Amino acid sequence: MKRIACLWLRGEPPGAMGSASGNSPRNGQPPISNPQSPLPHTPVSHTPVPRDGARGLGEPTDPLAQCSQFSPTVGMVEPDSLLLDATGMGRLFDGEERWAEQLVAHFQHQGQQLRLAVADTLGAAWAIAHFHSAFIIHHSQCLLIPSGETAAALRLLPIEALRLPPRTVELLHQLGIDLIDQLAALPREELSSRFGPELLRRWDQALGHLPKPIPVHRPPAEFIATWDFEPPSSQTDVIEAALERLVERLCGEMFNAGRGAARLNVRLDCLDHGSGRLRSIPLTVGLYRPTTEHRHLLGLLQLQLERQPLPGPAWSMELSVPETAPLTTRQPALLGELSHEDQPRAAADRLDALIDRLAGRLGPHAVLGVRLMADAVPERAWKGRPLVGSDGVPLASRQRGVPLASRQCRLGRSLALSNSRCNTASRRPARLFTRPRQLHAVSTAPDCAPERFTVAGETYQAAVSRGPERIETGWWRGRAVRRDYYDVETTDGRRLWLFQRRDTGRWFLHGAFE
Amino acid sequence: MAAPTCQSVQIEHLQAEIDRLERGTAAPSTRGWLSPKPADSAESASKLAGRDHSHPQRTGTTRWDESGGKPSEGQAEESYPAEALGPLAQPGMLVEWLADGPGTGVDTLALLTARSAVASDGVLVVIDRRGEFYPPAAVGMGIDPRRMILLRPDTLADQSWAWDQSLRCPAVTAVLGWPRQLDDRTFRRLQLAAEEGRTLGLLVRPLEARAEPSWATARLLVTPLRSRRETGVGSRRLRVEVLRNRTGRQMGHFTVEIDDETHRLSVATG
Repeated sequence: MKRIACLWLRGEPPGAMGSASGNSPRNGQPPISNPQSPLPHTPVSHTPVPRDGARGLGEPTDPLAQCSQFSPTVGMVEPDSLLLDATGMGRLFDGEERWAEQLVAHFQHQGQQLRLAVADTLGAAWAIAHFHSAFIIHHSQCLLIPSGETAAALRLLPIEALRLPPRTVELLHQLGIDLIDQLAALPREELSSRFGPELLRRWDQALGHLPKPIPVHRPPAEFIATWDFEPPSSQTDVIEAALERLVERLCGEMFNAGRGAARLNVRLDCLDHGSGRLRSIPLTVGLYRPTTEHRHLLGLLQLQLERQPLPGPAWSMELSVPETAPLTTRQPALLGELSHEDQPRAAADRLDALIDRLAGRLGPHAVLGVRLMADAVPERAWKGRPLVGSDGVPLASRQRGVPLASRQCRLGRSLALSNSRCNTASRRPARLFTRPRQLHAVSTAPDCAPERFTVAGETYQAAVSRGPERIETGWWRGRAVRRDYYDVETTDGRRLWLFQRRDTGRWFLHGAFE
Repeated sequence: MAAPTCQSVQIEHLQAEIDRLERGTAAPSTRGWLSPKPADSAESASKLAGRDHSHPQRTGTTRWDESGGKPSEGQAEESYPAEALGPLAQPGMLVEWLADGPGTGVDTLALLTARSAVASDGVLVVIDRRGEFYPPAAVGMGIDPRRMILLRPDTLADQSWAWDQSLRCPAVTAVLGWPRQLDDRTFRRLQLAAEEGRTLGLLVRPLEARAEPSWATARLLVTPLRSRRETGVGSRRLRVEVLRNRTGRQMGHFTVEIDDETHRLSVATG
């Protein structure tokens, strides 16, 4: 049976705001006003600092790093809620209770207030650590729920313990449902339609019916290089020269490690003339394909740097690679001539480089792959997903030399879908207005296209029309859509896509067959 | 009357010289390419573009390539009208489409041209700053969404830069967009970028752009016509007028008919 522990670090330990590495003022230098580092796991505000010097030099200050001595899998759902995989830990620590005691004692020793709960699931452990009354009544800091008793332990907890969206919690309270036990009394099949799918998902995850893995803590960037400007400089060529040195150094390190950069962060600390303090300027570059080509990386960083106004002279710069991927090398072509097999690869490399450049300047949100969705409502029938970045389309192949065809299959698994929807898609306009434009229509018969309509001051006379194509959505999808679409050809040959709302009878122009 | 003619000849000569210097290639023709002689204009334009007729270039239209530029029998009725638009939409060229108002069918024609160029192994970049391009329509026309990259630049400067970068990339087959404002210098830069990357550029612009100078290889005016069917919308007819054609082929107009379901084009009249 899986065992998960949730460690809720409550409140600030004395003197915990500083960190050993970053934010203390350097000798003779002003303090950093906004010390938010682009690194994903910089010490959070709960960074414990020993009151009595109990922790030795060189010990980690990050609670996540400290937890790694108690479990091989450590994660975090919120900055103050750490999760540990406690499965089998009892054997190593002379019982689960002893393991938990040592974990609590470790943080207590640092003056940290905390609660620790161990249960069968992640959701249950979090819920019990945050909401179980035993912590208040008995002033205990540790609660172990025996294996198999998770459901019973959850029953009397408030519904907030399920980590639901605030709107759902509010709705449940309005209906007088305050405890999870009351929720269990409701018919399960209606819960999803009334309160959204999140409620059942969270509940099932807490009970262990649905898996919920620990969001594993990733170690900080392995590849970091820093540069101190002596003296501080605001000259672009000086900053770019330093940047080139750092990029070259990190590319060499990554190449030796067989890794390629998938994301690059630069933090440029500049003196803000207005406030007289140092201000951090973050630059981030996402890559479609991991690479160690320093010229390509430098070009992408320069694209961002030249569009970023600096508030004053740069004091220092830090370049880090928080995300890398395995790099496979291939033999370079003899005498620089590409063989027949290498040509598609070369084309794919050029396309990857173009996507990186476009995303570097336009932003990842502006470089999209197209994916069709199985939705009848026209505006929801497709989605644009960023090609670069971890949020969107997965970095297709983090390997070099994958043919374009196979790589681009990842851009959208929509070919089969597109084929099946071809009949409908063939009747869709090439131009769809972001907001339907209301029009004044003159129609002599009900349920047919208007004979004349005016939109944006232009009057059109309909000659031929096709329709209606009725598009409706179910009530469970929020605001219902009920429209009758008509494909109208005007007397001068224009082709427009109109719809009439079934509820109000109003007419709108939604698109044009441009 | 002789003075203006002499002056225009001199201007043409200077333009050809500027063009030769910008391209860094030898320009065998001294006539210039703004008013080429019909017989040798295609050849001189090709040479100016650095192309060699002894090695035929891919047009993006398989049948057109296979037939050596001669449409085979029945081709016009079932595939892209290569005899009409194929020579105007080759790699390295910019094609400017003009239309007036909504619903003219100009995007459809441009997308079908892009489809023909992209075929099964090309990449289409769509630059849509206004956010009104509807990809399901392109998919319905047979363009593979996995071969489409959609760009949404925020500013005009970013839009021009994205056009330039995309056209300059040899891995991109065609670029489609709706640039309303395009100054002379930017237009010229895009033309050179298209030639360098051997990419087909399809610029759809409003009719007001007709008065502006153009560096496109071809400038086409698309006007919708009433469809023949009276019972329903089943196919549409578009009149395409060639306003400008630097390949030197005969200018004029023709009518294309597009089937709504299959999106097949056929040339109705010459």
